[in-house]
Amino acid sequence: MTLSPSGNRAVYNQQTGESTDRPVEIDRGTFLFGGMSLRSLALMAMLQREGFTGEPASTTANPGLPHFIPRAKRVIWLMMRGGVSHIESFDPKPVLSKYAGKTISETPFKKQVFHSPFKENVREQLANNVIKTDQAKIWPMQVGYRKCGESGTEVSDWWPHVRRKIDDIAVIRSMWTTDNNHGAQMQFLSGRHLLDGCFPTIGAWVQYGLSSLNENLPQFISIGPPLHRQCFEGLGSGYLGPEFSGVPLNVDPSDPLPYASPELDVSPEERVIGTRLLRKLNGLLHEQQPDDAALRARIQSYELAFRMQKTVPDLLRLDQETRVTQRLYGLDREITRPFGQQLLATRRLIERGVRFIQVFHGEGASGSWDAHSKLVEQHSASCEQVDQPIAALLQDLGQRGLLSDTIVVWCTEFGRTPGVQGADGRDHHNFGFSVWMAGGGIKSGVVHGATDELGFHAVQNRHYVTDVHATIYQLLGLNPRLLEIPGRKRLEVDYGQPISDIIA
Amino acid sequence: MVMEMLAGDELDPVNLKTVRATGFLARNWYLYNRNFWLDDVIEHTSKGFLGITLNCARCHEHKYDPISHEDYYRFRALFEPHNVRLEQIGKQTDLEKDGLPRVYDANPRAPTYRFIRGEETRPDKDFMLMPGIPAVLGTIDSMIRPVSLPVEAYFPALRAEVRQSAIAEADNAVDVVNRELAKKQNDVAAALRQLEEQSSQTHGKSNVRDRSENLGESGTEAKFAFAQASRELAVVQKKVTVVQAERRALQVVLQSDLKRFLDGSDCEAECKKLAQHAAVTKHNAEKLRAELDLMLAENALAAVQRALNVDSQARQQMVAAAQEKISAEAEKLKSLNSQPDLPPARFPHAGVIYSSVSTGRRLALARWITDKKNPLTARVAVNHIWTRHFGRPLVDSMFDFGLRTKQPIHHELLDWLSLEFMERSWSMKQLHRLIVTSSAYCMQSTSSDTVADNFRVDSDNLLFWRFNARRMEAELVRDTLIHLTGRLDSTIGGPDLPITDGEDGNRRTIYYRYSRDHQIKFLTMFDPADVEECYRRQHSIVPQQALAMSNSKMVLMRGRQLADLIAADVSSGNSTETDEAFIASLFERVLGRSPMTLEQAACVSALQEFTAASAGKAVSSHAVHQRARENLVHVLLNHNDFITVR
Repeated sequence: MTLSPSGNRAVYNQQTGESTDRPVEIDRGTFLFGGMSLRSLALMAMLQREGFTGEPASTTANPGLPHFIPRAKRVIWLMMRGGVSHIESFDPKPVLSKYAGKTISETPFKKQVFHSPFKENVREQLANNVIKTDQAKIWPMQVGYRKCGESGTEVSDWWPHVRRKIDDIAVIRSMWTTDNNHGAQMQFLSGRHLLDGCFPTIGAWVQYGLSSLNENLPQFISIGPPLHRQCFEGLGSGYLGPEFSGVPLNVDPSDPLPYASPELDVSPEERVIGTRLLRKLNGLLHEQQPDDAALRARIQSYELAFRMQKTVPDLLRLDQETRVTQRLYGLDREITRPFGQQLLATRRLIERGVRFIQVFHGEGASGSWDAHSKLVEQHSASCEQVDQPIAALLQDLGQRGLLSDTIVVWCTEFGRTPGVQGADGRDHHNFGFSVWMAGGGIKSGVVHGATDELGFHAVQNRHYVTDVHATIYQLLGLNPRLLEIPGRKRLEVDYGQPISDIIA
Repeated sequence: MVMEMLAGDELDPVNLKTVRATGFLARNWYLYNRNFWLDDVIEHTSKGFLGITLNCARCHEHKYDPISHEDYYRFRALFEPHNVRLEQIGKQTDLEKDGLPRVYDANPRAPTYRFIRGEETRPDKDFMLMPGIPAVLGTIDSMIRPVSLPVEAYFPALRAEVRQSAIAEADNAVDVVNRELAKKQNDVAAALRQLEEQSSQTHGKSNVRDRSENLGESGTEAKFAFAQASRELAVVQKKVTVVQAERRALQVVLQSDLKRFLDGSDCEAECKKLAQHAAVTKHNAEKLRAELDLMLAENALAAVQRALNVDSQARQQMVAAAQEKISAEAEKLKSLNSQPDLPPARFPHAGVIYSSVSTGRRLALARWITDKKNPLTARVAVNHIWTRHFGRPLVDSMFDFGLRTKQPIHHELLDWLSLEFMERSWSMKQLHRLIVTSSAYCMQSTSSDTVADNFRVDSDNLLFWRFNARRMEAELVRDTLIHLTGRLDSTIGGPDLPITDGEDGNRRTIYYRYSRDHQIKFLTMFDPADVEECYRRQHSIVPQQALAMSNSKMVLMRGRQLADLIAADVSSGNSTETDEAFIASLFERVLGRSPMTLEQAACVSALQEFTAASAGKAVSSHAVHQRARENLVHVLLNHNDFITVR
């Protein structure tokens, strides 16, 4: 790329073809539009992002182009619901064995933990459930670990497959968040805890900020068990309006897209005429109601639906993949199949130009990683479900050349306590925990930040959850401050700071 | 209503119309874990009526929360005794087919313990908790008074309706078996005639039985048929004695129960006599039933042994099974025969007798909840009703009016409406009227230049300066579609309907089964209610909804029905005038307004295009024209303002 980052956006767009340099299946064929050019229809002009300017709600002209040269184009956001133990995953703490059975107060780290300034960051939502940190007995690591890859990053034995890909990954061991209940799931998506209300999620912002890579597909897709009773199940776009909310896809190869074709006889010609009339009628309504966001969203949803019915069923037909690929994702094993199918579908969608896909893992209200008891049983089972598919995704993206401009985020709402809860569990722990990132513009095989000796506080290079957002914006070439909507004040903490140490 | 939902069975125990409201509690029923079940009862009672999240205190106390761990379990104790049973309604005696799920206090003395950290395996048995409401909200201890139930409430088999249908059923059983008897007697007579004919052909007229061993091939068949018919007749004859005895037993047992429980006063000696008589009669019927079962088992064995076309291993197994059955039945009969007279405690009854006293705990809670002095109930109710009309609540957290919830912008309005609501005798109808006749409700949803300032100041419409347009709820989409075709069946009540009828059926959506595993697929596209709870629906807009509206049989079929209806309404023929009338009527019905000029023009030209597209494909020009109209209707059903309520 020869352009200066400050280059004018229009030129930049022409030269890089931001929206077209990947094979894009824009099929505006005769089937739907009767041979008419999509853009020749007055209504379609409105559907272009430029058409939304001048709305009272978003007076910023937002042409959907990056603000500076991007390093990546797409995001896959893997979220393990319930709170993965950082200690038993990417931040092993063998020293816990040494103090096993003691309280933290009985260790040399008493002062370091309890008089830490970082304690103040936290709103404890579950005060008395949270095992009393000063009384809980330290519980040793429940699984082995070893250094792996050339980077020598320590990863627990429950992640044998991801471990093999460790040299593609940047592990961040110094995350913290303000709240220690599962509202923190939404918090990781929007930067704000549920108590503050529902704010646009990172997926909604990315969709808002960048134009479509493939007009036949939704640009923000959500897969897997949705967040339980949290802001439209984690799909909500808050004040950005419903047209920027995520589209939930149920990855079920046997019924890829309900109602994908007419259930009674309707001829293609009739559909074309009907579609055109509907577009016209809703367009007339839009002229009268220019600020009706729901109407805009519905018009868009129809346009998208007409295109999706051609593309999506095919995309979710995973048997088109080779046997080798299917096995890579673990589709041949019952335990890995569900998540494997979701990640294989994710790759197929990413490949066709979906911007942002969030994949949730972990059934139940709080998520299956929420190991208040039986941690060994629950975590080892959950790891087995996701480990191979995640490693497969990294490998597959890599060999298809997609990893270089796709950001993969692996995260969870918080970690788990060094102390034991009950006989065999760990409690919510938001003072320090681990996530990792990989792919487009991310350094490979590095570890960033650290928790203290016991894995209690994040002490080195601490990052609040929005720093992950800021890193993503940076790599996508977006300046979130330029996306701000007048009248919607964002706080400094909502923007976060890019984690420059892990940016290649 | 709230009183009926929580304690209809204590409020008016014999009035099933009242008792049925306890279905609110019954819906939490969960077979596999009583604790989950009670947790749901506690959660939704406190969220639904009081706007407090008691469920948060299940495992532990909260720093910011005045509700203690113990409060949670004291609240549970209010519900500890209750259980759910099916009550017969109408004549249907099979309660699985149609029964009323209702609540009653099954175990008034069931103890409640606090679960340490909410773990059900760790009840704190040192302290039995007394029922009550969270201390911070007051006390209802003095209001809890046991309720003595009338006989019909705790002994439902004695309800006149239940008694009559039981007797009718027994009568019917006798009739059925008698008809069967007549048929078998004919069969035997016919088989005998056949045998006699065979016999006479072979041996002339002589005694059949003496000569039967000399019959030929066809004679063997006739002999076999006769033997079979005779065996079957014997079984039916036995059946007749059994059902008659059972009917008799039912009558006698009912007589005894009625005397004891309904006439009541001082029947010690007579009641005892009646009961003993009932016991003997019932015992006799059981014995006959066991004899019949034995007979059936023996016949089954004989049949297996006769069967020739079964391979030996299968046959052995069948013989073994039949023999096992025989010995089981024989054992049962033996024990019945050897039974001495029953002790009074085991006298038979016409049905289950439940506890005759209800604890009155739920009634006390219901009275406290619906007390005018309770500051929460009316506000929570008003907030719900407001939400249904305006699409957005006055208090956003509909089930949490707790300390951490922000003060609502319109708290004065909420207070005023709540007072009005209570002063108008908690009449929801009056509250609806008050709301829908308000100027806030009459605001336009559409915007114009005159409100641009409002938009700048309050783009979220927090101040209700305009009406919130909103998408129909899932059920409403289906019901409206059917209503438009004039076919909506407004019948009220009845057992739930199978979802397989959801597409073609015309009943209102609320009557179709709605469970985790059974939902009408069409509805699932439109954010239907959570199966466990529904305080506030989502109103998403996703492409899947567009697909359901464009492609589902539901919408296509209803559109065609609607086209027929309108076509019949406007005069027939293909003239421009009737097209215009058709379009006008269509807009009126589907969007509730007349078409604008541009819309009219677009529809007219689309009709022509549709006609051209299917010309030559249909049998007549009339069919082509009607098809074009069907297509037009389908487009209108996909119009934004069909699914949007403005």
